[in-house]
Amino acid sequence: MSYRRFLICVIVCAVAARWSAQSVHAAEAANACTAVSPTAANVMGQIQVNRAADCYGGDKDTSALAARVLKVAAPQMCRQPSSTFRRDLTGAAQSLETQAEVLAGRATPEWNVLIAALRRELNRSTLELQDVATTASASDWSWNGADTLQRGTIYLISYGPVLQRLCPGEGCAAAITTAEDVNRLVNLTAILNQCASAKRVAGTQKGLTELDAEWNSYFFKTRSQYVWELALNSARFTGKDNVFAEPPNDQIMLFHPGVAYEYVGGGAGHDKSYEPIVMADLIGYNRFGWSNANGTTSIGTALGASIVATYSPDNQGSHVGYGLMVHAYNTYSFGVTRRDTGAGKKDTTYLVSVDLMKFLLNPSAQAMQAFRGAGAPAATTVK
Amino acid sequence: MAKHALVFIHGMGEQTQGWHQPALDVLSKAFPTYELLKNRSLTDFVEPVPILYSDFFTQLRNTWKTDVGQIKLALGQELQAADVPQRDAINNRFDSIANTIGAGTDSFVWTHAMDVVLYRFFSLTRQRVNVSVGKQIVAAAGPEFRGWSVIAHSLGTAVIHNTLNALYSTALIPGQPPLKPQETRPKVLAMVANVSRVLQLPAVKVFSSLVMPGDATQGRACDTYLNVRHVFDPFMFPQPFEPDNTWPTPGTFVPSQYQHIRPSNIDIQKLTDVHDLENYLENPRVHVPIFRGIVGPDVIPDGEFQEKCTAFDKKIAAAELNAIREALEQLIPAKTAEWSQILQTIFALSGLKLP
Repeated sequence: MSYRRFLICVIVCAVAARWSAQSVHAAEAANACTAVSPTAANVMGQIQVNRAADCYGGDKDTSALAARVLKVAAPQMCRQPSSTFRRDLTGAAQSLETQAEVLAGRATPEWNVLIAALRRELNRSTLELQDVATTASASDWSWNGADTLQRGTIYLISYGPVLQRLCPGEGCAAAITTAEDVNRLVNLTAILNQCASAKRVAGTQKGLTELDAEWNSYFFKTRSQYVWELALNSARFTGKDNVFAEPPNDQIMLFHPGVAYEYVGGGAGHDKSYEPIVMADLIGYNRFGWSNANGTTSIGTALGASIVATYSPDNQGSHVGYGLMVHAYNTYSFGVTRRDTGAGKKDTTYLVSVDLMKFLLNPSAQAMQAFRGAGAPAATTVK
Repeated sequence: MAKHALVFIHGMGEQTQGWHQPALDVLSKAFPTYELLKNRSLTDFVEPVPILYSDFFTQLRNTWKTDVGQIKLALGQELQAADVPQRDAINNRFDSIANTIGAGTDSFVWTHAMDVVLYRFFSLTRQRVNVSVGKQIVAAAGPEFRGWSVIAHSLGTAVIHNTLNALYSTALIPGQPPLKPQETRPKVLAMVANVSRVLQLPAVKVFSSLVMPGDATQGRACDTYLNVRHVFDPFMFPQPFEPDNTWPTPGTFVPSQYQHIRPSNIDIQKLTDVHDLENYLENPRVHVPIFRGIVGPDVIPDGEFQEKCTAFDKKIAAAELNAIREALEQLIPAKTAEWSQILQTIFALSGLKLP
């Protein structure tokens, strides 16, 4: 590389590095917590922006107090609490109480009532966090503007009036600092409470995940239901609407069209013994149990039966036959029907479901694919 | 940084992953236009959590299609020997039936309207949707987020109403009581194109369920309830969500916690968009209460809010005026037009009047 090209490269790299540094700096500035100016037109709004940006008691708070509480209430600690979890939470809550005491000594008299209420509530929260049986109250410590801890139409903590009285003015800067401290204490208490309830939230999510899997199995692992069958089975469903109900353990099949392999019997005139045929469960009933293995609930044993009709439009005898079919494990079905197959008298025919056919006769993957249609999963070889 | 989880719940219709992006784009565009939010991005504050439940309806339809596809194939094999007109006639009849029962070609009825029917009138499908949505929203209540809010649209308003009510009524942890709103609940529940009353269930009526704003210690399922209903949106005409002064219980909530928002912005060239989530969200009357609820009510002062509303209305009015002007310009006859045509235009214009 020539000296000239090297020089150009150095200049380009330097400019790129400088630009990159500026971009990072600008991005940081955009996300940074801004100092609230006592002369600002909207002091309350600025505090709320900082609060939403996690500046008071959040990840962007550089105070030692925030660092201590956030360490105790780290998400992974909340989800998998250790044996000392409650003690750690209580210790962190007590440190918030200590800080509130410091605040009480430092704040101007206008804050006395508010800080007294705050200290009282912080103490209550500490006691609640100590007691495993008490419900954690993260929502209770959520802000609504400058207000928190709602009780009916009033809020126990409301710093808006103090700030409005002092800002703009001589005591505004100190008032902003106190308001920020109050925000920090409330937010950290909310985080501790959120952490304390995380196990129950996770338990609720686990319960819903299991229930979701059960419902998924009900719809897609049992016998499929057309819209009229869904209507019928919905009408029979006794689950209450005001709760998350468990899926039913049975289903009625009604005018359910499908296909099966029909075995007409060997001999003359029946060169193709097994043929796909259109059929329908005129009415039937299927019942299934649930099994739980390794915490996962799935459909267990399933058994059902239905009155069926078959339809063969190209038959020389009767187009329609009637019979009975039994269903096991939602996929394996075996049936018997009677119809004139073209010999001038009623013959007994046998029906097997696609999956049972696959299990019993092990047809080639190609044949199954042709039968199921393009896009359907290929048949697997059964040994 | 831990962010506030902003949960999006869609309305009727087939949706895919990322369905919330257009709505998020509208909000993201509006967010930095406010004085205190300049140079900030909405996603610096919130983590979008899109909820998807229409995939269940799609999966149901696909199951029916697969089943019917097998029948058609079997029938086709039976009919191989039949003459072509007979085979075609049967095939056409078969396709017609498949379309009618939702197992054929996708149509608006089956991809949109039936979502509402399957949710409202079929308890099995409703339970499946509620459980799935419940599972997804509880993920937003975890300790990695600083609170959570919900923007639900159309059918999604009925879904979130029933789901939240069930969430705080069902004991899902063995041996323990149900989750309480005190432990976790949405900060803002924005019910956009709120049809929760139109689709309410006899057992979970909207004015007597747990889903009401107010004090967490009283078991209220949300802090702030934004009831958003466009003046010209027809979907809520039959049973609008219009609580009287007994809801929530008098003397137990702060007025700002329940807001009845009635936007009326329309684009006369796209009248059908009046129900769209994005059409709602672009109006400051809708997105400002959401921003205020998430960031803080003082972040956008009333004066600035009014200015934004005025500017938005002017922009809409100007666009409408231009659209009308363009439509009228189309009526002006060419210089070379026949007298009969010119007279026709004069009569047409003189006959114009407000409906």
